Amino acid sequence: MISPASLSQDLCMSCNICTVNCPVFAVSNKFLGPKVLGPQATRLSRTLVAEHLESNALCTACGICSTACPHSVPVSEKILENKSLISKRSREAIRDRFLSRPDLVGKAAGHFKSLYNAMMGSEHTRGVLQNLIGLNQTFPFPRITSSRMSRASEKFPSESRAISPRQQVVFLDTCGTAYYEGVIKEISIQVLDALGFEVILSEPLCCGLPLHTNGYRDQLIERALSNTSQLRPFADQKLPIIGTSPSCVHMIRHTYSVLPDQHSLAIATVAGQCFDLFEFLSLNAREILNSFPFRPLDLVVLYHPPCQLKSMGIGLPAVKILDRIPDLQIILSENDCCGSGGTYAMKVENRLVSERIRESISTQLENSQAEVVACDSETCRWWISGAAEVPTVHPVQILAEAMGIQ
Amino acid sequence: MSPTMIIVGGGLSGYFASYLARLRGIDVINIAQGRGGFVLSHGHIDVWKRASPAQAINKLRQSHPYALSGLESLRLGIDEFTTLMKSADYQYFGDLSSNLSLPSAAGYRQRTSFTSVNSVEGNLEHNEPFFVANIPIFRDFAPDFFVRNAIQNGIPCEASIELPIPDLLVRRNPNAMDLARLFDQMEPLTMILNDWKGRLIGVRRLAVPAILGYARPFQALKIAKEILGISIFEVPTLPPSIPGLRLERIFRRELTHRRVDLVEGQRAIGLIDGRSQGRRVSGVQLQGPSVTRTIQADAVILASGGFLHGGLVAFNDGRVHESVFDLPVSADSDRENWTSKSFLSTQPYSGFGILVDDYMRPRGADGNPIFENLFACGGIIAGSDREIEGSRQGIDLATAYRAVQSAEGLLS
Repeated sequence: MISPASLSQDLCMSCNICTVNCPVFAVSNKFLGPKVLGPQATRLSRTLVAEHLESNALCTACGICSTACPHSVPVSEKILENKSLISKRSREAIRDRFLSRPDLVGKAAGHFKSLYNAMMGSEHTRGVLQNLIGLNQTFPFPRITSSRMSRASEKFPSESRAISPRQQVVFLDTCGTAYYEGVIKEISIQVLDALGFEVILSEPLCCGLPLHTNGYRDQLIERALSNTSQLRPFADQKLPIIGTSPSCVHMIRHTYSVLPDQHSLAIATVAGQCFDLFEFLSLNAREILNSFPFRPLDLVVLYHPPCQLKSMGIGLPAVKILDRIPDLQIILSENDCCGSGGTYAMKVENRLVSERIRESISTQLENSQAEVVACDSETCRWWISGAAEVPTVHPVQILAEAMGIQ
Repeated sequence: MSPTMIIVGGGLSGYFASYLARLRGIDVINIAQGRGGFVLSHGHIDVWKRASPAQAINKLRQSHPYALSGLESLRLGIDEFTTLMKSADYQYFGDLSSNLSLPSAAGYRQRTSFTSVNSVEGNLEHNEPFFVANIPIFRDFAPDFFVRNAIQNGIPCEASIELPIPDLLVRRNPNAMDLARLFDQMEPLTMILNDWKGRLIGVRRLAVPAILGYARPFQALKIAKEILGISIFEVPTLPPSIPGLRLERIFRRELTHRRVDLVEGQRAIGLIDGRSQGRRVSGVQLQGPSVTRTIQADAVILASGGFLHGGLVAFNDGRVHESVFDLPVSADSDRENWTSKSFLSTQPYSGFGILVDDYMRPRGADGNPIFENLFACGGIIAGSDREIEGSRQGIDLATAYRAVQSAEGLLS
């Protein structure tokens, strides 16, 4: 059966609005652009795509092309579909296997925390890895941190503290919070707790976005199905599943559903219960936030909303909430994309493109009085931190500060 | 708490309405299926091309969008628009009592009411002969075609003059945006202009395809004038059209800065408030592949455009459908009658659209508004052939102004 989604490249009327808005096309002469690599390439035969469209690998998968298209062509989705047809050179294949499994790397490295942190913290080791497998040695790889929280599905707060009855929510513990930045999970749970929610911690899981952007389509489908069955019981109980990384939330909420032939009730049920943290708060904690006695924060923040957040079509909920904090001044990033593209900027061959895209954020940062950069997605935050003199944080860290948590 | 308004549409009327509503203290959520028509726009403000706009508008039939919005809405809308553009360092010039005459991309006289600082010196009231730039690597402007037509039309264009972009700066066949981004940066800008300077001996007035900067067009123009010491103006190109995209950029920056939520890539389905016995709308639903979200609002403005932009959808069996609230559309059900014999004459389908009252509320055939708190503006409104009239942007601004004014009146 031909699904309507597979025909949608024919809705493209070649207006080039996607090309004009593509952050990679703006800085790279080698990149053929989203119109050519998405809808147009999809009309070609599969072998032609594989042989001639190598520049497909330069796509960061930011998804701006898909949101810009006025005719609903899933441009970015088509490019990624074509990406999985292109074979990798062996050196890149080894590296991409690692990069596409941040959960495995995080879990393994967790056992040898100090060794891993010492290795990735050393410029020398990163240089060796760049030569061996093509890792971008300038990428600010995160340290593995431990979390105070135990791994089992634990409830917060503990029963003794709980005021009954509180609305239960599930915290989606994806790779970033599970292995690299436990602190963001801890803070988010405290914020949710303070705003009157009882938090259940999910098992750690990888949403599969790195598999997706690295072209491992079959493994992604397996991952989507296993994550769906893991989260389904929560969704069936109508529990909101809340994530701090918009890329993971967008993956579960949108991308699983548009994988060819994978649309199912289970996927739709889970997707419907999945929320970005700030989106959830702006929908469900409006009243308490309206009257919350925030501490004034005399701080200028440059906020960069990640591309995947924009793809979700929920506006900028973090700004709506942080705007309530007295004295806090939020400057919005004028860049559509930071160039990180998840694991994209971690590859040496993409370094220049990513740096060029990031440049205008650094320029805006220099020209503003910003003392902090805030960004929701972890890889964006890490990548931006490589060019920022000031600290980079998740917006929930600012919210927590103003709520007197930390 | 401030009232919430949803505005559906990311073109000129939708963005302008969002801007006006936000200025008036309303919380605005702008929802668009993708980017609006700016990429196709020449960037001028066409109000009425055939005669003095102000006089012509007073004589229109009662069902014309201008007659419904009123001349005052047009005047005030234009004022707000030009004020915003001036504050963004991209000034507009013109007035409503007469039209400017500017060369089009094809070398014809194009009558329009307002144009940007980057095009205003192309006003053909000035008889000073000019040359037109031939940038060989740029394929979306045809200088020889332009010259041939211009001469036939009595436009004082002398000839084209080859003005290359140094190889070092361009490594692929560039589109207009590639070149405009070059002109935004000081180094390439001065490098290109210093090269051009030696090629422009004896030239006192120069037409350039509209690529002089995207984010900083006025800066590029100013520096070009300084370095070359001559009069310069832009003429439109094939899409992507930079003058239109500059407007889009200015609006988006302004809206984001003012905390208007720009929700993109989402299809909106209108919701009716059942408790009002069907008299009010309650917001929209956003439909994704799996997830449907509801956004509540106190008022909704439809700025979703006509056939090209998805506000109206035509079916093979002759039905014409309004895509958000399924409103009744004023249209001919016989497809034979949709187009006229000649491509160049007025097309009946252009006049299709929804009927509105003079508050810009969609109305039924009986003249009564369908919903108390639903408004419309721009290309979705029936009753004008904006192409033939040369009234596209004027109608966008006037009806958006009137719709926001009416909605504000209702909400306050």
